[in-house]
Amino acid sequence: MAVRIPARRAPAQIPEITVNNPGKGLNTLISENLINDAEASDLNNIQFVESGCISKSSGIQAVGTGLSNNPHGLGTFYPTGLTKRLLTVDGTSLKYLNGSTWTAISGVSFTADKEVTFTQCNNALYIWNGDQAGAKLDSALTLTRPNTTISASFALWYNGFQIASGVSSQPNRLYVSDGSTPDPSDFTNANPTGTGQYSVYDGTTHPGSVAPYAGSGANYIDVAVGDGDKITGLAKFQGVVIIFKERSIYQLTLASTTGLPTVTNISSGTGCVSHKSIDNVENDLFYLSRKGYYVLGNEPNFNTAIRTNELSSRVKPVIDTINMGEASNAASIFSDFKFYTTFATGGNSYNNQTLIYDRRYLAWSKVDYMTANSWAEFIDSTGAKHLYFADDNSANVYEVVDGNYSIDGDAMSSQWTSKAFDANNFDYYKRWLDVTILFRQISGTVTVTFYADNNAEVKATSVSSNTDTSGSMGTVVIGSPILGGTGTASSTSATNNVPYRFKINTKSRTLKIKISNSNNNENFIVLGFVIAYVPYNRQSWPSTLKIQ
Amino acid sequence: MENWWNQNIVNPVRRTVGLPGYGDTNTARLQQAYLGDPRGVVGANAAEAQRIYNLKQQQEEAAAIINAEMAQRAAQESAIASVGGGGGGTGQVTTDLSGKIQALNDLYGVIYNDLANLTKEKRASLESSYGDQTKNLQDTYQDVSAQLPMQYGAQGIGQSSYYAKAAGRAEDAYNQNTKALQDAQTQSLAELGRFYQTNLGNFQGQQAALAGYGGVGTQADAAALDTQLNQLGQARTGLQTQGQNIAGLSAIAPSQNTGAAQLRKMLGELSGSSIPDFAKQTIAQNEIKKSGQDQTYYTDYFDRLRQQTPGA
Repeated sequence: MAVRIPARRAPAQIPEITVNNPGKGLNTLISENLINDAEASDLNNIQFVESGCISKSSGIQAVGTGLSNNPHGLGTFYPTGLTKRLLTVDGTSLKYLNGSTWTAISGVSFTADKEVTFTQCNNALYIWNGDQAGAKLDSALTLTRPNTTISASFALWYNGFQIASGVSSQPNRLYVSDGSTPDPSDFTNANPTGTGQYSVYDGTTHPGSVAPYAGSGANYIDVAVGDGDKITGLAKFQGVVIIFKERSIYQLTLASTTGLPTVTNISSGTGCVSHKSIDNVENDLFYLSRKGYYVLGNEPNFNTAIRTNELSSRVKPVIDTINMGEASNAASIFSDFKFYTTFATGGNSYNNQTLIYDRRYLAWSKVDYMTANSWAEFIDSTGAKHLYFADDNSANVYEVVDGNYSIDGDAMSSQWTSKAFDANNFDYYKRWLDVTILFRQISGTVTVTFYADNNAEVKATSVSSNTDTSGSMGTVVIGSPILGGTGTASSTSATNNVPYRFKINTKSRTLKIKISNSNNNENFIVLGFVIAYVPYNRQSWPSTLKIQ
Repeated sequence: MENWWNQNIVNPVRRTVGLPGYGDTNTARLQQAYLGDPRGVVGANAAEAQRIYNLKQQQEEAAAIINAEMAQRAAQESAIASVGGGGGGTGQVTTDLSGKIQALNDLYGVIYNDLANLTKEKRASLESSYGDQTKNLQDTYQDVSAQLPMQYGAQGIGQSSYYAKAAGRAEDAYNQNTKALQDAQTQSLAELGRFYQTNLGNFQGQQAALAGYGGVGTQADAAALDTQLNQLGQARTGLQTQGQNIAGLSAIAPSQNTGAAQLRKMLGELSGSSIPDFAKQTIAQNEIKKSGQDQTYYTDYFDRLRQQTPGA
């Protein structure tokens, strides 16, 4: 009689939720249960690196001394064959960064506390503040205010013309400089033959300019005059000039043979609220509208058709906090695959919030220490590229410094919070067993917090670069040696991937992970994580949530 | 002697009795000889009769010569009268010129009238041409003035200095073209006036010279008047056909202003032609420049035409 030996039962397969490269960014538009696994339900001072991993955002460092007031505007000046300059307006003075000192340039003063923009044209830099006639800085750093400029707020250099706008008393007016001379500072003209208001050039039509006018080929256009709107920004997009009003968008092209412009409406559905919020991003334009950040680009497969599309829908709740009274001061720049944009929220009168859209991962992030009034990318004499911003809340210009995780020497508080994972089944309770997080590198200490339903904190623990197998990483030692190594991951070697497993052992419908660090110049990189769980029987449901 | 000659020789009928100093027979013989009868050359007075007979012969011969001359002169006068209507001569060296002078004066009157009519017609023609051209300019300006707001408005720059300048340039072009036409018209009329005055002066000068003639003049004078009459007749006929006059009047042709309408027509034809695009542009630029119209407007106009033309 054969003896029947019972077969050894294989261990039951534990369900897991695996998330690699959780760098799809912030999504506060929809429920934290329903967002993508790689998205964040909340984050602050986070950036995405490598293949979409989570990291603390780059820190900032003050640049130069000698500023007495909150700087307004930040411009770069690249005179041919001469030293490149970074400039801002400090109080009433134009200053440039001379070594490590902000040095004033005499000749012209500026009304304090006005927003300033810079436009380089024909080897000269024009400074516009919307209050005074535009000033001109030549390559020898001689600062003047020509009689022929206007009190525009912004301008651009297009096909040999400087095109300016933002004159408060002429809100629909676009000024086109004389294209027949190499000097684009002349926006005036001797009154040409003809009658009617548009044959007049005087101090009313051209505020800021001073008679007599010598005459030139300058022109001016009122775009959709009387529509109750105003021109709020200008940008170059491929071969055309985009004219933004607050609630509509137009494009301007110049005929190749006559130079005669054509102005065409692109959209009456959206507009732009701030000239400084506009920047070219790859082949598109990003800008801030009253509805949020939009992208203006070509219609797919129809390269002659320009269309707009909402960009910031996933961070709409953040957009809704924008103080629209200060929105005209919003400032943006596209640098190193990232679109930085800063604006004032709530009752703040300065730009206190920055959103960063990473083109590589199509991911939104936000940081709270880049309180930029203006942004500028500057290539120095060595060819190195720097990203600067003029601070809207202190007398500083800061540089964004990769590899530095401090706010000008102070600690940066960063956190990334996952979605509320429910294993794609919200009507089952689960026993959350553990979570394994794969870190690339940890410098300092990382705090990991787990939340169950309704943000109920389940567990908070920390792991540091000195964590070893003795259990010093926190309150939880998983009962076996640390997986993947000792946890002393101070090296930046790319091979130092360290998975830490955190025991949870909690029953709930959902589980959320928060990874944070608030220490000075410390960082972490999260490559991914795995959540192990066991679902309960469907009958396991709180009686309080049962409706008879 | 003359009386004797007339009584005895020229009008011998009135004296049938023989010559004084001779008897009847001798007288009869002498009369017979005088009558040309050689039979009277006889008798005692034969020598006298012979002398008379010879005189008679000479007289007859002289008369024949005179008659021949008179006949010739009469024939000439008859011929002259048939041309000028003048009266017969009063002698061999003078003639009546009054008829010829009157004829010439009449002819001058006709010519003056013709010249005035010719000038008047020419003036009407000039004024009509300039009037038409001016109206064309007005029509074109009205067209352009109406089109400009629409064109610039369609380009989104109806409210701009671009439009104001274009309207100003259209106005300039209109004013300049109108003024050019007015100037040309004034110049043409002045030339026409000079043409009239010059010709009138010439004719009047010639006519004034007639005052130098009395009612009677020489045959040479008459011949000169005849010649003048002949030439004046020809001048009248050739007043509108003679080369010099034609050239003079043709030179007073109205100045032609091509105008925007013609320019647009030309540009339209050019844009639709099959010549290479760069050549079209070059030609168009030249034509636009020549026309005196607004270069910016019409260059843009031509660009649009080209864009509408397939394959342009």
